[in-house]
Amino acid sequence: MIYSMCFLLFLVGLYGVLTKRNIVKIILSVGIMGYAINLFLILIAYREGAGFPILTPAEPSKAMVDPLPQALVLTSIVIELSTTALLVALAIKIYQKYHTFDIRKIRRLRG
Amino acid sequence: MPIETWLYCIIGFMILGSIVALELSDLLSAVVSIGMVGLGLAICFLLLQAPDLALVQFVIEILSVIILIVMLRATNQRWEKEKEPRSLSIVKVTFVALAMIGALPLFLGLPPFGHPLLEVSSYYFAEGLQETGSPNLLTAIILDYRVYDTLGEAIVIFVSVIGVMTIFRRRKKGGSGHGQ
Repeated sequence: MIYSMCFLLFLVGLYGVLTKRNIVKIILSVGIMGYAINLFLILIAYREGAGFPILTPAEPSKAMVDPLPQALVLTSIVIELSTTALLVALAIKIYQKYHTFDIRKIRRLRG
Repeated sequence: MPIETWLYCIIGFMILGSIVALELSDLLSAVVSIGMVGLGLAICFLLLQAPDLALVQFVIEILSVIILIVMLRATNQRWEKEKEPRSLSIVKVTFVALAMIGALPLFLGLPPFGHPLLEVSSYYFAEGLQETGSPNLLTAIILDYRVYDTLGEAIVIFVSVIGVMTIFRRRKKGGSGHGQ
């Protein structure tokens, strides 16, 4: 089953979030989970033997895949980039304050 | 080869790349592996007949790799020093494996690959060209039918840019400039 492989990719990201103690690794794991979700939505939308959802004059009534999940995933991809940018900014700020990427050492609240 | 075989190969490659990225202690190599995973995702989109998504994913992936490398440069940390004790991670891997086993019946209940249940878009196929004038139905949806989604996306990007600017502005005022 191809959906369960996609879910396995999601679980790899979940494993990274759960076990890693380095902030860079956690950011990467969040990215992996986002990839898995996007891929799953596009896999759901695929129709066998269908073409891309662009009408061409040559074959005006061909079978096409579902364009609606593709539109939503397009939004999601761009939002993931902004999430990554925000996480990276926070990580740089944390590093400047604590001089470490280790999440166990980031404990004290300092103004 | 049928498209499903290709997809199995590429998703397997993506899973392998993700595991390599998470297990390497060299952070720069990990970031590059994540870039490869993202490009594999772009190829998947291409195979699944979503060329617009493949283009966007390609560009966004390169941008995010650049952002992550800039972070590594700004902090000058290249190696992952902190590791979790093995016993604790074995417990967590067990839970993840249990989640995989528990979710398998859920995927058996889905319609088989290539035969989707989604029928909302038949309206777009029938009326999209007349109503919006765009032969590309994807742009017809994101810029006409669901334009508020696109507006929300623009707002999210704007908020994230404001957030990044706010986070970095406090550095000059706060006097903790001995970071780099």
